Amino acid sequence: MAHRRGGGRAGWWLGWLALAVLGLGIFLLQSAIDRNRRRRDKLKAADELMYFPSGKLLAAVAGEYRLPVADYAWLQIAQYAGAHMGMIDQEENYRWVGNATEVVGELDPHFVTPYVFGAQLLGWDAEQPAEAIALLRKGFERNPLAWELPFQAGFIAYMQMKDYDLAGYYFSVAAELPGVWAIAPRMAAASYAQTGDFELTRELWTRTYENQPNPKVREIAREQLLHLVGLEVNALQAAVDSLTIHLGRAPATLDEVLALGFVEQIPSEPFGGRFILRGGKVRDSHVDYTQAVIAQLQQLVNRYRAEQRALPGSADDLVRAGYLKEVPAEPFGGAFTITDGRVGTTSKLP
Amino acid sequence: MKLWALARNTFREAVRDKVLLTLMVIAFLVTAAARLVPELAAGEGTKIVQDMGLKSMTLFCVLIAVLVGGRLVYREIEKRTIFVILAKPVARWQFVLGKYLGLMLVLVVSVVLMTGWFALFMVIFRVPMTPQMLLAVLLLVMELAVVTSIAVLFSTFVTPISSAVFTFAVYFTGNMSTSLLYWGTRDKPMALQLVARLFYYVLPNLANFDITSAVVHRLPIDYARVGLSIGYALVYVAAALLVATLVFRRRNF
Repeated sequence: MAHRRGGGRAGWWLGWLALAVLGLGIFLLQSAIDRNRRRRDKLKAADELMYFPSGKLLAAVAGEYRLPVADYAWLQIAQYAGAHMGMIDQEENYRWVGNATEVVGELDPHFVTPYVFGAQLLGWDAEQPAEAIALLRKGFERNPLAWELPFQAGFIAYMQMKDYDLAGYYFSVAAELPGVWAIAPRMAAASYAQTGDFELTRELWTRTYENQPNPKVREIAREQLLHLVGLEVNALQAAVDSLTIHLGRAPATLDEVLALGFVEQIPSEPFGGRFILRGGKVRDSHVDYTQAVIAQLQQLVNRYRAEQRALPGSADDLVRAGYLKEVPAEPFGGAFTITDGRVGTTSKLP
Repeated sequence: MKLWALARNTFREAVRDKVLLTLMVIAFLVTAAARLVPELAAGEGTKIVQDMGLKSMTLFCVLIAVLVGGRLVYREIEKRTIFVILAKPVARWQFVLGKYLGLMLVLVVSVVLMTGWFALFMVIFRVPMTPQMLLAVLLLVMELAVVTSIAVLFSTFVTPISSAVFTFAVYFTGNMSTSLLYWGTRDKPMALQLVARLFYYVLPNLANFDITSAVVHRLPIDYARVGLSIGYALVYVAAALLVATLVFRRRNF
């Protein structure tokens, strides 16, 4: 029995030694395999992603485990792309992006992020904007409420393709979807402005101006609308000038310009005023009103300075001192200002 | 009363089973391992944690149903305890149903424990939870009810290993039965189409119980489909247990 225990102890130590040797062997072999794999992965990872199994087949085989399999495929894409960011165009086989994303789409059709991410890789890294937009379109067919997809398509069309009409279309689609970033209608308007489509641009900016709860975004929309009014005044003025040359006299009204076909339509004025023709010059009716109010306020400021021996800091000071019942509304959505005794408006008048 | 005694006994037996304990520990570890994912997931950590949590619960509960359920009746036969039980005034259908209910009790407790663990995990790591997740868990229980009935059916006439293999095969094909129907009926001879349709209705359609995509992506849930799926599970379980009883009645003890 003692002999067996002694032999057992030697065997016990030998066993541990063997285990340590085998453990070391496992460690060394695994390290060698990892080194080899890293070298090979560098060369083959894109090919592997390129030849991902068919999404349809994977979806059928994975059954109710489709979502975790999609997650796994997504992690592969994210890790590979992370390691190769900025180099995908050099690999000349960027198509793995679309293929791998399509596989994820088959497995989990409502997983939106891979489409956006894949399109970013294709659009910016691989410089294949048309392929990027095609990928986003596929995603949008499966997720018609995912605003990120048309928004990203608009962004790529705008920034990379310089196709402003296409960009405007995608931004408009995104702007209609729930949860969209506030910037989407502005992007749509800006895109259409590049194409000269004032009507749609005005509509989009007006919608932003009227519906946007964020005051900063509203202010941007207001400024853009004012800029647009200026552009429309110029366009109408050009038509009036052409008609003046054609007739040998200035037209009496803008309706005459319209009736003779020198403009397709008289655009609506986004702030509730209208475009008028006076002395051969096109004007916004609100401009006349604004200038009249400024002149009246200036008289009150002058009176205030004479009687109070001080300058009012704002129109509210005039109300408090009883010179004015209430501060009139500025028709372009801005505010009347008094700076060093001079009355003005925050709006850049068209 | 007899049913409850059988079910309670089956439950006690199952919770002492090392397979159950091992699977539960692995399930807990896998759910916890999901915490490693967000760093790699490029902003999709929440979705992946939810997917992994719900689906690891499914996988491990199915494993419990298959591995523990497959041995239920066979072990009684092997240990000859079946003779003691059937010598008492216990009908064979009561024996089968009692075994089934006992295993379902084990599975429901496992699901509750795993759900609690998953919920705790989500609270700790601030992963958003939705009430619809509980609906996904309810449908998981329905799916387990179906898979367990298949496991009990096989355990009445084959060895535990064969039962596990057959139940897995049914589970695997039941998960892709819609695809099988599509492939089996597309441009195929009429006879093959009929066979494909027969398989489609005989095998459990486990895709009925999968609403994970809608839950994770917060899409509208089709409650009518959920109701129909629960009805389907109850009818399917009744049919499978009926077949199990008929098979079990033909055996001589």
